Amino acid sequence: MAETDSKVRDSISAEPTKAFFVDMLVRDIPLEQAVLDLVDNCVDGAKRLAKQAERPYEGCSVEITIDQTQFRIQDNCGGFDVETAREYAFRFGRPAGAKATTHSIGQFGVGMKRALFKFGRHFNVQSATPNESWAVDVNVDEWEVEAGWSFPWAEFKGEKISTAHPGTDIKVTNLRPEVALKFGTVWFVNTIIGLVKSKHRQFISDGLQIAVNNTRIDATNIYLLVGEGFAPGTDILTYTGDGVAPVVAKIIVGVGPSSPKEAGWNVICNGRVILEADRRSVTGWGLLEEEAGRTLIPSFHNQFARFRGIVSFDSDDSSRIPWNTTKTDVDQDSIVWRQTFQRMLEMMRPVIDFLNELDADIDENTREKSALLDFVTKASPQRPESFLVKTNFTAPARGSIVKGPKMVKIQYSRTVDDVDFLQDALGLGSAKAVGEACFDMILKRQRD
Amino acid sequence: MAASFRKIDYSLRPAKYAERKMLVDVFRRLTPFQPVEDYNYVGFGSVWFSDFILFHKILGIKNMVSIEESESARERFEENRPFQIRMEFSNSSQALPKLDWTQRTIAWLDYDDTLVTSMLQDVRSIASRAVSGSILAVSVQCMKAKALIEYHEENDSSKASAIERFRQTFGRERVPDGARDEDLAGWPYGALCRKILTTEIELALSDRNTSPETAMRFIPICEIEYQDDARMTTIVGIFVTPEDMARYESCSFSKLDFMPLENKAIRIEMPKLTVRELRKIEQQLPSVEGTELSLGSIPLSDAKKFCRMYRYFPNFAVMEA
Repeated sequence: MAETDSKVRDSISAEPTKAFFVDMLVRDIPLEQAVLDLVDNCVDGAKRLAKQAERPYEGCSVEITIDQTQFRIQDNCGGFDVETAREYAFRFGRPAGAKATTHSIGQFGVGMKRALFKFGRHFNVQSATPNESWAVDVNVDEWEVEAGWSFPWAEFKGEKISTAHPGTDIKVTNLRPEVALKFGTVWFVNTIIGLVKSKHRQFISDGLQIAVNNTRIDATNIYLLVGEGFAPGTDILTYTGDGVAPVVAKIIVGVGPSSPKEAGWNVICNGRVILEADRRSVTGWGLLEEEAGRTLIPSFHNQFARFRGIVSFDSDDSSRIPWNTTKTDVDQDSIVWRQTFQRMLEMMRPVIDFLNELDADIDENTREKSALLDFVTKASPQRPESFLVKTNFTAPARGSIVKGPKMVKIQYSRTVDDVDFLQDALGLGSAKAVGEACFDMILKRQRD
Repeated sequence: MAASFRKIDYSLRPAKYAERKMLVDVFRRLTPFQPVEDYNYVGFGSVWFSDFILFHKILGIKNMVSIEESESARERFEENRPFQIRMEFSNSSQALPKLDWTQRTIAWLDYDDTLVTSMLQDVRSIASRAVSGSILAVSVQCMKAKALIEYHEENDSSKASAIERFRQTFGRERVPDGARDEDLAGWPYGALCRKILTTEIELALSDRNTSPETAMRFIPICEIEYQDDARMTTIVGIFVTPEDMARYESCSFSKLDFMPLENKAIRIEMPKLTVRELRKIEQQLPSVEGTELSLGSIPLSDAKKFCRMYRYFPNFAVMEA
């Protein structure tokens, strides 16, 4: 054995086996997020091509095919050149000094490879720019046992893409069994459609076309209600530093249509939605003031179903943006996040107070007669992009809007038999109606 | 006036009757898996036990379990229970996981109500347990989704659309992206419910299966739409492993005479004909291809409805004073 060779015994090799490396790499990321990572790559391509126009990504398209045998994603978003492929796209981690798309959403240098390994055991990547075209074809089983960390070039056989029609075509076959089973379900395809719809909504409304299994996806939107003396709060924070690109954080809080699943905070990083309708303590819900044991912000409850909060972080240097590597959450340790978070808490308080007032008004006057509810439902919905100026949340105080006389709510219990008897005798449909009818009858009698 | 027109007594539920008889013909074909009489049957018998009685009398199924949520009328169920049917008094989501799914089973979740999430839980319970050769049928009411009813009731101009509410209840993974408000009433709503149910079964199977080569599949046999009082829809399918595919093929479900072309749903429509008219058509059935029926004054559309599934319609005796 070579062990006797003193040179070999000088040190211990810690070089990871490729199989181990691949296994660790794919463990961290949920399957759905891996698909989104590949869409993010296309979006970065579209960002490089973006026009100065109202819909900067008009003309860019991404087509995704998911089934039990394959995953494929094709785009016409400019492709990437041989140098980028060699120096960056296929390397694990971004080398220092590598060029990057400014304001990108795929900054960690793992997204594409991680997704490909996660899906299957064979992948083929083809790309064409206006000047060149190339392909890489990897059989993972063979690659794992070969020495060295290089991927082999293959012959370019573009179907839809060419130097005349630049873009990228990625195909994964020989899917992992658990992946094949999931990819074969309508559930998974619907999940991806739903995620793309919300996570990439900004890019879609800016003109990027995305289709999943031939279903073209349109974007979902957030709306905030605006009326006379009723407007969302807006603040813009800028974080600068020496020799680094600034980060701009824009916070908007307000009231939207009642919808429990849309209520909460939305966190958007360089256009990519990271958190959607978040109601965890990470975004402030149910937060206690530590010393006093006092609730700073209540836990989410359906009476806050109209709460809408949006925080967007933008920076040319995407590494300064407070997101985690899988783009599934914020990086809570980031200074940018911590400072922004403080401001979010301050700004959500008046909205919570208003929603509590609204709830009390409905409770006292009923949904039909609440003046405040009436006011809110008549407000007009607006997209968050229309709020550009720093301003505080404003809303009418309860009692400042009058709709009919002041009301008080009465509640009491009687035996079921008696209530049923009266309900029958008076020809009414509910116990509540019995109570109201009895009150009205006795009132009339006494007044007359 | 003489009862010349056939009176359809609502309590007889003729379309439901036809559906049950069609299911009998589906189940008859299960013999490549095992004799049908050795299958277990799980259903919601209510106090009528109509499905149980039919499947016992015609198919010979003996091992039968009826799930009954209403504990309060326990005695009444027990008294109406024929043929040693075993009663399981609890709601279906608690009862289903307790049953023995290691034997081939025919399960018919014949709900009265519109689709709710607990039904999907029931479907999942079965799909994650059923052995190859087992049948799952699910019926739901499909007049109008609760989300649509609520939408129409509220007078809030900023209210979320009906399909948005529906999506919030069922999750965007279950509701296809293209679904609209108009998919929440009538037959389109039935189609949406069937789609949601099959998606759920698929999902449960994808969690249960370990590799595509050995994966248990749920193969739809037929979809049925019918209306006695409320519009109802049913999906019927079979669980099959790859090694049992040959057995499945030899069941040849597609040869059943009520199967429509192009995988469409079977629509059970009751013809409105007099007894005399029925007799006249029956004399000419089964029709030989190419020969026209002699109908006289009989409306063609009713005659067609009758010819399509006459073997499944109930026979009515007209009782007159």
